[in-house]
Amino acid sequence: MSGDANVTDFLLGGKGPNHTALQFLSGTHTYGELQRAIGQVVRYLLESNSRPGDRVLLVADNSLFWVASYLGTMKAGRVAVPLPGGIPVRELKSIRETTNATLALVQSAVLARHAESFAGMDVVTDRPARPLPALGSQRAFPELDQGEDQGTAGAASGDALAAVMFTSGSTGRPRGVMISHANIIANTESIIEYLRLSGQDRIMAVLPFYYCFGASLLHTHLRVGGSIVVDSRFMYPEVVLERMIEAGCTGFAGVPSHFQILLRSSTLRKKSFPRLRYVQQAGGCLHKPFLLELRQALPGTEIFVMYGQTEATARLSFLPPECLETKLGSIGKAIPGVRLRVLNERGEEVRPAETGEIVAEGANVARGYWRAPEESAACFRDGRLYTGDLATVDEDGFLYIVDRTKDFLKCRGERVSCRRIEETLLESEDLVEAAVIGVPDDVLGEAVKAFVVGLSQERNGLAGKVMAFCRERLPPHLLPKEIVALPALPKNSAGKVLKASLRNS
Amino acid sequence: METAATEQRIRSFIEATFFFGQIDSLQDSDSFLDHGIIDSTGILELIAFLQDEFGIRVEDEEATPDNLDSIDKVSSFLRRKLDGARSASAGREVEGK
Repeated sequence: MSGDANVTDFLLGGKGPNHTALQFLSGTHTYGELQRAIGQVVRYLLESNSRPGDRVLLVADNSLFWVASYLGTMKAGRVAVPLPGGIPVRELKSIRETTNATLALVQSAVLARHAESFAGMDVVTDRPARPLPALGSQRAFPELDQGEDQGTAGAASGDALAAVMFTSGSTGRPRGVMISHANIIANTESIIEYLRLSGQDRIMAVLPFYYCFGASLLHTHLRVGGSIVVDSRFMYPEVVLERMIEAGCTGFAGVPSHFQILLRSSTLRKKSFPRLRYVQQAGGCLHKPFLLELRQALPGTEIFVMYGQTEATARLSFLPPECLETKLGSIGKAIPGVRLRVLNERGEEVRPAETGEIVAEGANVARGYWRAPEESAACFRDGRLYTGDLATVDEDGFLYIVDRTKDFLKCRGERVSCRRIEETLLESEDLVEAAVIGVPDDVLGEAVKAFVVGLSQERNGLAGKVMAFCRERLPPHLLPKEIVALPALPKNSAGKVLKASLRNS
Repeated sequence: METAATEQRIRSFIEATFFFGQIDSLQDSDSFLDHGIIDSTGILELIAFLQDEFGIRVEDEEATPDNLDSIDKVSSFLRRKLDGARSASAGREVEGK
């Protein structure tokens, strides 16, 4: 059964060695080349002082080095801890301590910036780097010895840990989600099934692989023998769109901000993408006006709105593309192999229009949080994942996220979803982004405070324009008491808006 | 417009917006992409700055690394745009005669 396999073997087994796997700007790599690069990492790890189950830090941008390091670590039975290249030093230090990692696979530019954070560790860099005496040992990936197919006796599989994915989530401090080999295999199989992926598919990956959504693109497209076109230049959406056309990409995946930028400031509408079969949107709510615009902009493309969490490896639900308009704003239903229920405070399934918490069961539900027994017990109970996301279910069984448990304000005693107000704000074509929080108010209890990012740099006068726009659309008690125009919203590295930092600002 | 003055205005904007005043290490030819200086909302800010500050219009098609990915590239792009605008208005004057 594939669920008992080592995840790297599951993803790469049986692939034609000459078939293209990865297309970076720096070059294209076949499955054969990828296997050889993984072999180098596996051999290094097996010959190192590390033991099966040991955590290995992986700090790099999307690259062949990243993919080979990640898959090689899991193949060797070690546990991958992928982290963003731009991770703050304090966070890196705390993750190194909590994972007891003694080994790190690091992009040389990161090492040069944070040398002291890796003191005493055995380090492999993506390319030859200046020798640093403080390190335990130092090697460069291109110079690692070729490995034969080691067979990796006793390599991990099934419930053994494959990765610890750190997530800052929308609230609180980073938590490490423990993902097993079986978790990745189960989620990969479900996603392939509902997206109907095949070896013909070629995805444009602008998302970082250290983020569960980015990793899912890698997993699914490798498993089907397709290819992944990697481009980290999304700050220039035009060049990414051009590359999608040139490379004949059949898929694109993004979080809400990607689609907002494509729709508000790119030539998406003027271009045609004859090969583009599907678009995946996840990682937060893309507000309804944007979904409808996207539908219009890409008439021949299937648009999959999806929902998930790192705690579920990546994916939990999807909305079938044909329901995009009839079930607008819904996150759809559970993906194959997953059971989703929406439970009220008494633990019963909600009636239509009643709000409850989304609770998930399935082989993709993670094993818990790394060394955080209390937080694990709160979210993972009896094999179920309590997502903390509130939703309603309609009469046809489609789920609608109402909000994160905490993303409400209580105005005149009424619970008001911040998201609903954000959606209204974003109907304004002057705005690229908006976030709403509640602030204490003597009369209302809580009043609306809005943070907005305008399409134009001119921030003077924007608040007034937005206020006029709101007056036509919101009841008086929900009108923002304060509107702050910002150059950008604070976000974590996965693009999620950090409301906590807005609250503290 | 003086090239040096234009570059200084662009540099000041980037310094104030993305660097909080620590820009000494950035060369005029350094790629914003390679140095991770600006992200996708940042580039929108840069474009808005160019439009508001110099009265040009940056089309979506023009938001490319060739035009915008270093201080040098931004200033030569700007020069081309301003020259284009000037010759277009000169052309109109001739036609009007």
